[in-house]
Amino acid sequence: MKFVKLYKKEMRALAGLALLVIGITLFLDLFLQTRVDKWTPSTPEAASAAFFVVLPVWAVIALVYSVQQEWTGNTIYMLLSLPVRGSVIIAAKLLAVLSWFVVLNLFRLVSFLLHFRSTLLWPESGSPMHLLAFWVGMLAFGYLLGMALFLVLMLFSMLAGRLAPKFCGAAAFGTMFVSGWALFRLTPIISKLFGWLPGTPVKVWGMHSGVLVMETVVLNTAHFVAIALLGAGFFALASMLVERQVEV
Amino acid sequence: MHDAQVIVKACSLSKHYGSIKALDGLDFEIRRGVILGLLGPNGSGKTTLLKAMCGMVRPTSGEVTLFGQKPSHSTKELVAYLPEIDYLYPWMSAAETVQFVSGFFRDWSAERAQQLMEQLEIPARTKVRDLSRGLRARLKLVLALAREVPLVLLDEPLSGIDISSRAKIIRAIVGEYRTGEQTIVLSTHQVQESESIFEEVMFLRSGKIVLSDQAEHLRQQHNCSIQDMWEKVYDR
Amino acid sequence: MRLDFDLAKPIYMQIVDEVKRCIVRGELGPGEKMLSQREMAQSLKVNPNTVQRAYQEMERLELVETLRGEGTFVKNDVMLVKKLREEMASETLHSFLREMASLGFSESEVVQMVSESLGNGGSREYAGGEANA
Repeated sequence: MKFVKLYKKEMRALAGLALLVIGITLFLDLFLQTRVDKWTPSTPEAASAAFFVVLPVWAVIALVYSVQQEWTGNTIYMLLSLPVRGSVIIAAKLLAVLSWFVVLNLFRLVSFLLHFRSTLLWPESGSPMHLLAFWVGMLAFGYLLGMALFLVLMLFSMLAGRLAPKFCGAAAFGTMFVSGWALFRLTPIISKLFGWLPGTPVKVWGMHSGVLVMETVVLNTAHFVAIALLGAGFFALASMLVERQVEV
Repeated sequence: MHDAQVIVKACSLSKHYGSIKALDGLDFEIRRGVILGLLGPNGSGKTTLLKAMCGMVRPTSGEVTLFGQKPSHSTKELVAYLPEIDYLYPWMSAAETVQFVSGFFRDWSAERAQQLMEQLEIPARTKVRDLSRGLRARLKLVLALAREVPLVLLDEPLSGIDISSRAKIIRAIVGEYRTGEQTIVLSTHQVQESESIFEEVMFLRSGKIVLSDQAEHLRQQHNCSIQDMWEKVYDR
Repeated sequence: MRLDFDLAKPIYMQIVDEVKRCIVRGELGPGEKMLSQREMAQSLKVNPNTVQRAYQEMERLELVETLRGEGTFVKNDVMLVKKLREEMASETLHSFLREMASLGFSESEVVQMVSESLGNGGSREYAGGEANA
């Protein structure tokens, strides 16, 4: 209940930033569509697709804005006066950024398809489009998880940076590098500890000699567990920082 | 009176910011059912003390306990803290702010909130950023007084506010105050308006307690108002 | 009941004195119900505990009585007004005489000044007031 309230508040706080991007996306695509026959073929499409890259940057900016704004607007007093755990506060922020991130990506995708590849939206059954859609879906999922992990590290770094009152920007960057490095170094080590875990079989679509088939691929569970644990660890550290160390 | 439960206790409470001693070895007890005036000029440590009492700031040394516990996210259920600064989300309307905060506290009384909003004449649908300073101060007060909470900390609730808002605020505080059960600590650097509601007063200077006594006792003993005591204490 | 406090003196005593004045002036009749402590505190903008102390003092002085669950009432005693009036007059008189003596006026000077002041038919204090008995 408390989490839901905070989450809704965070969503609303970021709505402006998100709608801005939606607006730009729409405007851009409409504009590019008019250039389809005027510019070199495929260029407008490529430009539209390239806009995808802006979205992770947006997510980073949104998170920074979401956190910094609490301090510059003094609303951090409001958050700290509420009887909620630190983990709830930061989970709400992270989830809000991710939620808008998903919305923006979906919007970007749909807008792109509508303007440049409307046939893709209604593929015939059995066509390679199913395969493409499936893999795009898998990629998207991985992309989202990766983004989530990255944002957790960023949040942790921002909060840690605040501990050094005079150089919090530099300290935040420094912490980010160290955390990232720690993540890379620790993942294989922790992974080995969980090496005894059985692999996870996953049924995937694949293409063999022009025919669509279902195969089973075995994923290395240990790696995922390691990353998940480390991600949870950074999240816990960030929660602790909010509860114990943050001062106004 | 002396049997009343101790709500806040400080032992050698100190808070240093670098070389600045915002709080310097404070020792005191605040008993239940009292309206305490925390007095002192700007920079005397009043705000830091209130923040330490609700966990917004951690002591450099010594300790402060609330209901026998260290300030934590669970003591926040028992304390209503009103900072001096503007801490409300500017994009929320007054009603939305009340709605937002209410969901976090079990001791929230919606009827009281509604009644206070009317009594203090706060326009429900106006966004916080469009409210005048006086109205924002009144809205902050609603957030504190609509809760049935044993300890209320008000940091300069009257400063920079227009006279009519000040009178309304004082009336609301006195009206909602649960005698004997609720403890209110009100910090101010302007004593005139509020001295008649203080039962006890504590004068701070440079993070230390200079004088702490019952208001009526001081009046009787020194034949002067708390305002006059202020001058005696600080203009040396 | 309007009261401009002298904040240099204990407030609770000033509340008691003002209630006494109200009784003497007839604004509060015998047996009449008084404002609740909270109502009085709110209208005067005074700490409710201070009002409580005033009420306790008034009860001690037998000016009022509190009936549990019903409120506080002025003592239903017609002699009360007379008694209070005399008490307050006596206090004011003594305080006046003390002050005049400290200023160096003799008794006869004081008597003369008082009758002159009253005789100037229309001294402010009595203009429009009831005739004194």
